[in-house]
Amino acid sequence: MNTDRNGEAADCSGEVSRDSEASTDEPPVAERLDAKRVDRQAAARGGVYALLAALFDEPDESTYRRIAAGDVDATCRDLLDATGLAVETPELTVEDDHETLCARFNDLFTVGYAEYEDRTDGSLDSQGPPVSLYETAYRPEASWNDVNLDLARAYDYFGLEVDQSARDNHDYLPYQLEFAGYLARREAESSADAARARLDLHDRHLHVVAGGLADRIDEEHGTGLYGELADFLDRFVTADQTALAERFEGGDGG
Amino acid sequence: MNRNDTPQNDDERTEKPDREDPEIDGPAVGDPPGDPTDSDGSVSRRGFLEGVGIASLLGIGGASAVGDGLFQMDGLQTVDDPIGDYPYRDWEDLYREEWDWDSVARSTHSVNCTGSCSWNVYVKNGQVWREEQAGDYPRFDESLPDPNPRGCQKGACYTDYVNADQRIKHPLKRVGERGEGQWQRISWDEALTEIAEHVVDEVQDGRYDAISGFTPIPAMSPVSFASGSRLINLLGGVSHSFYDWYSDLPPGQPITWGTQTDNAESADWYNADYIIAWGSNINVTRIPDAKYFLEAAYEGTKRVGVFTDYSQTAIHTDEWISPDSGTDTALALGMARTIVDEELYDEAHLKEQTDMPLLVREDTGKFLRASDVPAVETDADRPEWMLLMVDADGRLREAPGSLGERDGQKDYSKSIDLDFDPRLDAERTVETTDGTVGVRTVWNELRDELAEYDPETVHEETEVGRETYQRVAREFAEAEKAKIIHGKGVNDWYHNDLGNRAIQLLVTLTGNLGEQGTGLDHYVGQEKIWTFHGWKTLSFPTGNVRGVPTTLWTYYHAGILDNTDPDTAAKIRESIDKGWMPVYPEEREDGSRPDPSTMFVWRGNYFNQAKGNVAVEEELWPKLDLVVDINFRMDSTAMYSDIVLPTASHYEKHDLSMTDMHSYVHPFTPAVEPLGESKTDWQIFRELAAKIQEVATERGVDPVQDRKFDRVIDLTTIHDDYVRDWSTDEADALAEDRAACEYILEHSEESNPADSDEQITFADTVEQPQRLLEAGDHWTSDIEEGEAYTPWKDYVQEKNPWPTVTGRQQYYIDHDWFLELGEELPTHKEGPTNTGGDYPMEYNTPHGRWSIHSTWRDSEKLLRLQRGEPVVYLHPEDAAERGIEDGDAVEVFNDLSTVELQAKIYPSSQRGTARMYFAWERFQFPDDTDFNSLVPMYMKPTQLVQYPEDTGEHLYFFPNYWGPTGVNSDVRVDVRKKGGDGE
Repeated sequence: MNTDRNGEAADCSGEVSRDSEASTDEPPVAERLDAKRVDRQAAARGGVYALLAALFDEPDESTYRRIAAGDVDATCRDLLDATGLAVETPELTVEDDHETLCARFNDLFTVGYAEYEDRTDGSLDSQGPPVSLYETAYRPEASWNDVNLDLARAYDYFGLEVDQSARDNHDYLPYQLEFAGYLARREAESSADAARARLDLHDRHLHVVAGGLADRIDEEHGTGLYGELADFLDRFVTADQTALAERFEGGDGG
Repeated sequence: MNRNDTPQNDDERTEKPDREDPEIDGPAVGDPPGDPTDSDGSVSRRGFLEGVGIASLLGIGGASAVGDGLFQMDGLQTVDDPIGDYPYRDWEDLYREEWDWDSVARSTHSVNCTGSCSWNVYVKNGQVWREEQAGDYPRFDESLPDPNPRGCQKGACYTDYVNADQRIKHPLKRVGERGEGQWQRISWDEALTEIAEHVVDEVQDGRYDAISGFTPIPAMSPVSFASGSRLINLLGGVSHSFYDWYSDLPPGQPITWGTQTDNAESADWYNADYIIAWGSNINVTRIPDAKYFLEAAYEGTKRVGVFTDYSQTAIHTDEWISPDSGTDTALALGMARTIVDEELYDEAHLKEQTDMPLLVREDTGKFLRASDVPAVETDADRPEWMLLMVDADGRLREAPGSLGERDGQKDYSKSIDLDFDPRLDAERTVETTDGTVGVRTVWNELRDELAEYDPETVHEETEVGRETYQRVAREFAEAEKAKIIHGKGVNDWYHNDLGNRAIQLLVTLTGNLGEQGTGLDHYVGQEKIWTFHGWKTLSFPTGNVRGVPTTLWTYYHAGILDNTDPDTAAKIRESIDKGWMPVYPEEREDGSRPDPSTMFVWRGNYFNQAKGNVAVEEELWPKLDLVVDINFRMDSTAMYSDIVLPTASHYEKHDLSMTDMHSYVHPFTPAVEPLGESKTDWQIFRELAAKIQEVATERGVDPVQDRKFDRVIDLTTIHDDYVRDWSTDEADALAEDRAACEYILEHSEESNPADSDEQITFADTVEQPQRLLEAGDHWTSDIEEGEAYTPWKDYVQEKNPWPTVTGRQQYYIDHDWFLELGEELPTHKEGPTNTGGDYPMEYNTPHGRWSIHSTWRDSEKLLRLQRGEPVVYLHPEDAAERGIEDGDAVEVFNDLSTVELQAKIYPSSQRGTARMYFAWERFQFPDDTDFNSLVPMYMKPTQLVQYPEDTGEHLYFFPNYWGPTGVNSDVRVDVRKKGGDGE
């Protein structure tokens, strides 16, 4: 079975091959990328996802200086302009000093302890920080295994794995953002397959965590940069998902 | 981002460099020079896919100053060629590859539940997905139920913790107040450097004994225990006891049997004909072992439960006895009286194995000693500790095996075998160096004491039926093999020692000791480690241990001397002054005593579990300049620390697991890499040792002479000493966790017997749990092929002296403090009154079903099996009196604090008890209180003694053997509806 590099299956067997070496009639893959042939919108979206992945981590001193200097904000605007998506730009600037920003990040996203949702019925958000960076937290109907397995399969299929030197769970938001960025960049260098996969990633996972996280962070006070970032994540994911849905399904991707 | 820049061993995983060096700004504009774009503007396809070159490619580098570091993939990495083809049509494509586990690892859980259950852990894509009971413990006795499987619902969802949102993944430093929850991530190097600088300061200033290390229960993971203990030991710091602090230690056992605790493994329950579960809620707290209790019924074993409530175990017994809480001693002594009065006791056992025939002076209450009686000729080195009996002919005879002829506490070269028939009932006068003195046997003293416990008194005190308890006593005495399974409940009371001694008396009177199916098995925690010598020398390589009784240390530094009754305060001072009990930092030559300055906590939740919690927070905690918690989750101690270091979960490390519930050893093996930047305990403390050595070397510090021990503390070699095998002097031999496991197995009699070629290696344990080969000196019986382990055979069958003053089971203690307090024999006494204030209800905090202490208290899965928040169990009438209905928010309060809880109506309770299954975390209470906030500091002075007072062979401070217990069941409280006027 052959597949072309636009991802169109060349036969109707239903089988999909991942073995590029099996396609003996394909020309050798160039090692350098010709910038002129790159889909700039997809590349920019890939850049936004990569930037989001980096920002949903505690900022080190260098990153903090770039945020504080407005460089990150400017870059995000530049990237957003290039995505072709009509998404309101966020204000990715801070007034916090570095220490306070770190404390804010950890307080929101990493320091976990039980908090009551409703003391009258004993319901408890027991599993961690006020705003989870893990999709499973926003999928009460789904098992942790099912969510993570689905993502593990996806990363694995596209030749990616979690860096075991500092591993995290497969449903960790920065991983999903890195994966979305990776798929966007694959699309940028001419794989429509990857765009289709990104739409499915949105439908199955990323829109859930992005929406859930934005809703959840709205309930918190003093979210600062991260409130802005969470809202932007939700807006951007929704716009990208909608655009992809229109492209592949003629719908809104709901 | 990976900020790990501490030294790594060769075989450790390789780690990506920091994305950005915090000290160096990234490129001001665009991509890093030279990479990944070529001069023709093209970009490496691989680099682009991995996130490099985006800014250049889009030409936005000039407009902003963000380097590519922010775009590069960091958590995901490409394994296959990223420029290869990945055709995709729909999500189903992802599921076409057949599922298979990448690996299955053997591991277990380090949570002091006594379970020590071996599990298989299933791994795919570097992630743990599930666990399953391994179910392959080898059977050693086909007549007993299969030991497999072992495991409970907590263990079955430990994966949730491994993968939990609340895992601590990076070193964190507090940037707000302690407990405020404001943290900043720091690199390992920053964290270790800050700690090392502080430690070097403390040691070089002579305050090494102000450095404390608290970690409990070696048996549940001895390498992890040893990790910090080894470093603390090399630093000259203080290692804390835990068994006594948690009131898990039954003080009656060192008092009566001269032994910390020794128990039959649970399989032996099946060998008994009659079992009393005395406050041991087996079906809740011994889930993997409960089958032996339940299935014994099929063999006709009668099982009696003694519980204040109609507990989860009581419902499965043949008979349930419900004494009023705190009256176990009276019940046991009433039963003892029945056994004695009806002559159901084992006379031969009492004569040979106990102090009952020994003579006591009526003038002083002291034992009659050979040195008291000129007419007695003795060859003993210490006639003052040769105790006397009367033989059938009325002659005074030395009790063989008395301390006076022994070389220390444990001396198997002597025997208690009798070549005469001593009288149990003797009362006469003796010509002593003080003149004519009346003497009588301990037996007669005991009978006088038991006379107080007539059926009417026992019934009045305990509310147990007069006939009922006497019948049970008769049945117990007449059973061929009878056993008591003793729970923790008795230990939580101020007079826990008296309770223990009274219950022990029942197995002693009936001779139910030293053979299969008998004994008093006290299981509270995995307090006793089988592979003792290997663990000990790994944990404390210098051999000089600055151990401290944690109850005394905690309360002393939390200000108990100013907050207790004058007599207790005086006795605490006397005990410290006489050197019976140590407190660190020790008093300096000028009479001053520094405050403790530094505390390391790992594998435990000291701050949450500390009784006297209010004083600990307000008095002790501010004295500590640096609190370091090593943890995989943000528990209460972590929350109140200064630096939190992320540790590997139980499925991410090598270690060993043991328990006295069974006689096997099995391993932890790393199923997956530690999450985030976390490291194993052994790695963490080893790397801290390396950092201390580095800092000390840079500073050029000199070795410090230890004030107490004949050694110098040399910080410039501390890492070398940490990884050196002190038994062979081999350098770097213990750098790795697994090597430490092997060390323990190699240096323990239980796994590498001296008289055998057999040896258990770590690889053997990975293959299958291994039954230990021998029992070393730490145990009182051998491990025998085909038999469940049962203690005390060294004494009962081999007739070696018991490790007590008398060389026998000793129910009479002639220490001055015991005599002064009327506790020379077990007796029922009321506990201290108004503990916590004058309130009508008792406060009881038993072990729960859905957690192991505070672990799993925050597990959503387990919270869904209960009410999901801290709950107080109330009797319906107590609740009704207060206008409380099930599910109401209520306040439990006393003079110390007010704790908000949900009320659960519990008809199985006795009236007057507010019962809260512990150990909820502080952050699970609305007002940041704690289940221990209601518990004041109090301790029993008799547990501060040394005995003999001058030499202390029998009772002496040794961590987890003898020391004051942290008790809490005497506390008084009341309950009111929140928002009501229950004041």
